[in-house]
Amino acid sequence: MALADEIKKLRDDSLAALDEAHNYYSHTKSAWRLLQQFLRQGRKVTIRNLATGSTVEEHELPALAQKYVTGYLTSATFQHFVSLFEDFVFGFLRAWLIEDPRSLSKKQLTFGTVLESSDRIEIVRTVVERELVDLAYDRVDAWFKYLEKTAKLGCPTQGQIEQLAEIKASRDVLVHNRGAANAKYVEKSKGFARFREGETLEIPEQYHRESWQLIRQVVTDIANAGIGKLP
Amino acid sequence: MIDVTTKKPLYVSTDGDATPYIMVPVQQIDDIRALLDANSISYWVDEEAISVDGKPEVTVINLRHGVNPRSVQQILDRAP
Repeated sequence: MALADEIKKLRDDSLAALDEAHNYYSHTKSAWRLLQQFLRQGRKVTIRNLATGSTVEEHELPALAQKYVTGYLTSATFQHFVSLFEDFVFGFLRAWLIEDPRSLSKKQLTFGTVLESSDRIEIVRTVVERELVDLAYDRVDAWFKYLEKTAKLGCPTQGQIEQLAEIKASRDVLVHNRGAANAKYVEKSKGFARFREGETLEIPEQYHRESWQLIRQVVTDIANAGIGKLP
Repeated sequence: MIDVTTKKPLYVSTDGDATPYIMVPVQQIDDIRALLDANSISYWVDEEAISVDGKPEVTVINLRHGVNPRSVQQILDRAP
């Protein structure tokens, strides 16, 4: 597949997955809100989880619904947005570097790797993967410095990069620190930090939506700028 | 403040350890927001409004971390 077509597909797949994730969030939340409304009308409900053996009844469900909506659901879909974004950025870099690997010409390989590879493209893929694995553990601003050095797209803006760094730092706190903001979060987020060290991270709906919108915008901008640079 | 659709007082739900919230008819959302803003209450509003069986749309106001639900209830109770 030509690189431009590959980037178009990556963009369209990423945007479709982001939309699907946001619809899942909105529809699941609506389902819980509907249940809360039904319960206010005096409906009787019992839900038994056959796996854990737990049973909940109508008087417990409103609080659980609220906790699931503002906690688990929001957190899980927010993390998914960030995962989709990372997948796009590294998918873009992978495709770009495989097409034009000259910037990696000084990378070293063992002769064994060469012998184990069936052809030139497999060698290139191996080198690109190693390069990107190292980069993935680096900070968000390093990803975009690398992208700019590699493809010279002129986007995203510095402000967008700083917002994305805060979003990624929030995701890291949710995944690795049980939602408690730590010194790393504050430092990675710089001027965009929403919480101080020790505070519990919140994902209000507006922030959840704005993060989704920013990711959508940056995916579109990077892909379109990349396609625009290709013959 | 009275819920214009049920004619019952609006109340802050504080069950369990969940975020406190208020279920409100969409037609009253501007008045309630103005009331909360005037009292410097931090909150966010669901971006969905749900109507069941053609009845008026309902949405949810979620109170932010650290907001005292009892003081919000007092503010609602005092409002006309």
